[in-house]
Amino acid sequence: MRLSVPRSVLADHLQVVSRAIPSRSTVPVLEGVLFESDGNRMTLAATNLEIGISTSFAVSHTETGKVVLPAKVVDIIKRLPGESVQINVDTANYHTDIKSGQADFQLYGTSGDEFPAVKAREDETPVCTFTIKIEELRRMLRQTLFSVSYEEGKGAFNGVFFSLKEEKISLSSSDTFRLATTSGAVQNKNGKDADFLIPGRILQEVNRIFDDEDDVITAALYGGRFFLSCGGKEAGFRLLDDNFPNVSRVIPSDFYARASVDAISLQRALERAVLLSDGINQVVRLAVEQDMLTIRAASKYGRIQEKLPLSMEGEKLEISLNARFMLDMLKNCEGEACSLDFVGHNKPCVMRDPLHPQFLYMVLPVKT
Amino acid sequence: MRRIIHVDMNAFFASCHQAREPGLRGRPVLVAGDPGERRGIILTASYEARASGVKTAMPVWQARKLCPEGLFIRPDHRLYLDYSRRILDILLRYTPLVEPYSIDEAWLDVTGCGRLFGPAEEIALDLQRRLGDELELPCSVGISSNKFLAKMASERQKPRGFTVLYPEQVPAVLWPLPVGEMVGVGRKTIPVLQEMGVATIGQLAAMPVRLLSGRFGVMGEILHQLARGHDESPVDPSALDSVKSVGHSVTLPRDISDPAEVDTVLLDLCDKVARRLRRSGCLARTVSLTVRDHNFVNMTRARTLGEPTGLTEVIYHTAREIHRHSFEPWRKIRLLGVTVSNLTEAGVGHQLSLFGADSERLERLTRTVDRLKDRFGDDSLQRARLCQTKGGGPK
Repeated sequence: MRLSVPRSVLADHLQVVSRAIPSRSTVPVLEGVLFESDGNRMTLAATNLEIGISTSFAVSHTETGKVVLPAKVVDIIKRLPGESVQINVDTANYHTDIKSGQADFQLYGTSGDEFPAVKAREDETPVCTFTIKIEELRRMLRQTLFSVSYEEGKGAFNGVFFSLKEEKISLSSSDTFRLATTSGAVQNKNGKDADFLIPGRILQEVNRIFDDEDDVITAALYGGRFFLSCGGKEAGFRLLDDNFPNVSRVIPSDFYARASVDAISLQRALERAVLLSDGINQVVRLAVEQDMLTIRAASKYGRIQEKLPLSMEGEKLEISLNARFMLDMLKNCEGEACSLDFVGHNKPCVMRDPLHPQFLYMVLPVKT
Repeated sequence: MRRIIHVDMNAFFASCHQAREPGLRGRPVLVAGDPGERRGIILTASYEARASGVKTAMPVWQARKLCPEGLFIRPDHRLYLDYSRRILDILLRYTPLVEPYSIDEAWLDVTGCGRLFGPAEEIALDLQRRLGDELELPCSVGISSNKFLAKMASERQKPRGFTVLYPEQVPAVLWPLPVGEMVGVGRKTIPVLQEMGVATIGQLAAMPVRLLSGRFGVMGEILHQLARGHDESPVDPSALDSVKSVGHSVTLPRDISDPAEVDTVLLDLCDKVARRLRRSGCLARTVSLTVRDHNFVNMTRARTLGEPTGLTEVIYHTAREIHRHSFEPWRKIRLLGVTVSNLTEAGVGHQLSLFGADSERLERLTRTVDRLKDRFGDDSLQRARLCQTKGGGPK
């Protein structure tokens, strides 16, 4: 295999696939990047078996072939001195020459035959397939990824639950102490609905793989894997084999009090209160009255009290909440106001962003 | 300058038996576990027995050979606790600033006691005499201006020692000593220090602190300070009140490797640990499992949970996972131990959970079982799995 390619193009594509290279794997071939050429296009691929990423681009002066190069290739290409890169693979032993400017690397590659398939198989029919705008997908992930449990062994709570119904998809996540749910519009390509669960840890990569230029993303669910693709880029995500609890059942519908407060002011006040909040639960006490929200926190180091104006309907109440949980939502609240709905003392608090009515976040209180 | 006294009871367990039964005084008393149950090691030997070469942690059979006339006594922890409390009562007559360090050791800060009781040396002599007269218990005392030096001083002379060790004496007295004699330098630290060329306390004091903190972190800095005789830590009367960990271990009557048998032992241990944990009013976040195999190789592995727990079930599941994950199944197990640490006070700010209906029901059940056991005794209610006699059949 032999090719010539602009260094910046190759570096950018390697950057994308590098997110999937495992630092240590029981399967040595995975600790590298697959380079595969069909004569017109170059495909790069990497996988840690949780997530697989591939990307392809047009190349000139190329021969067909494939090779797995060690992960070091990512940094090597990034640091090459010249504008273009010449790569030449010795098909007998996979030794690969990389030349750019006056620099001349030889990397000891291995055969690409053992590398697992990263892309979706084109002959398979997807369980469901749809297209979605990148900004819509990114918004939904932003609104749900923060309440996933990143502690190992939490089953369904380690993932984001996707539920596709006709032209709408909803995403939900919970670490059992809080729950986030949101939805967005999609174009359903084969009219089929589906529910599936994807580990939150690998979904975080979506933002690093796709950017605003990608515009519309194609999504497809094939047995056991969920694929997102756009342009030459494709990412496959392993599914979690757990049952996510029924979200609609736990969201309260009757409220004792509904309040609205300036989101930035609340965020700043909680950031101050958390400095003196107690223990690992970072408890703050909220007293909600007709036109005033009082935030209190205390620990062995001292105490803080701060008042914020608020508009409210319903009865006044006091509730203790984990400030960190509230801040997680406020950081992702894009509207000027944030609405807080209360069911009662020792009952959940529901937070909403009026700019995104589909987004709902529920925090369970700290029992005092 | 502060005035600190360290009181260290001599051969405490053995002395307690001798204090209770005057007939044992002056005779070689050996407190040891049951050899039949394979717990046959010497816990404490009286000085009369030590004269024949008996040492702590020696197997009973070996001690018998060395000291055939020795009186072997099973440990009686209630007796020791009772004497420990009576010792504390006497120490508290001098100052409220008493920090018990273990069942048989304590520090006193007598800086402000001069007008009432005279200088620290007089107080130390007086309390040593009183412990001897009122309780018939011997002790060694160390006097200095900080806790570390006071403890190092009381270690210098045993039994019935009286040692004064002020910072200006450190180069002459402490520095020539092997570094292993220093409080805070354990079995694991010695070889590392030796590798760095440190054999004596003086060499440790002369070591650039940068090298020590590079190797041991914060502990390196502390060791360096101690070796120079510096210790600012206050005598804290509440230090022992705050429980730091709760643990139980058992040496098994025979080596086991069958996972089902291991699980049963683990459940029993976790049940005991969890109950003591709940009694202390705490929740724990870290579970550690210690395994000693048939070759006497010890291994400890720990896991930290996302949220603190007081439930037997959660501790048991974690301990079981550690066992499955970290210990080879073929290893024959001689001793199992479960410890929980990273404790927080229960009840203050309990984060409610959305899908935690199961654990709340379990908590209610646990509370009920605890109340029943409090009222009718620990044996009144038992998990079915633990209702096994040694023959394997139900009780």
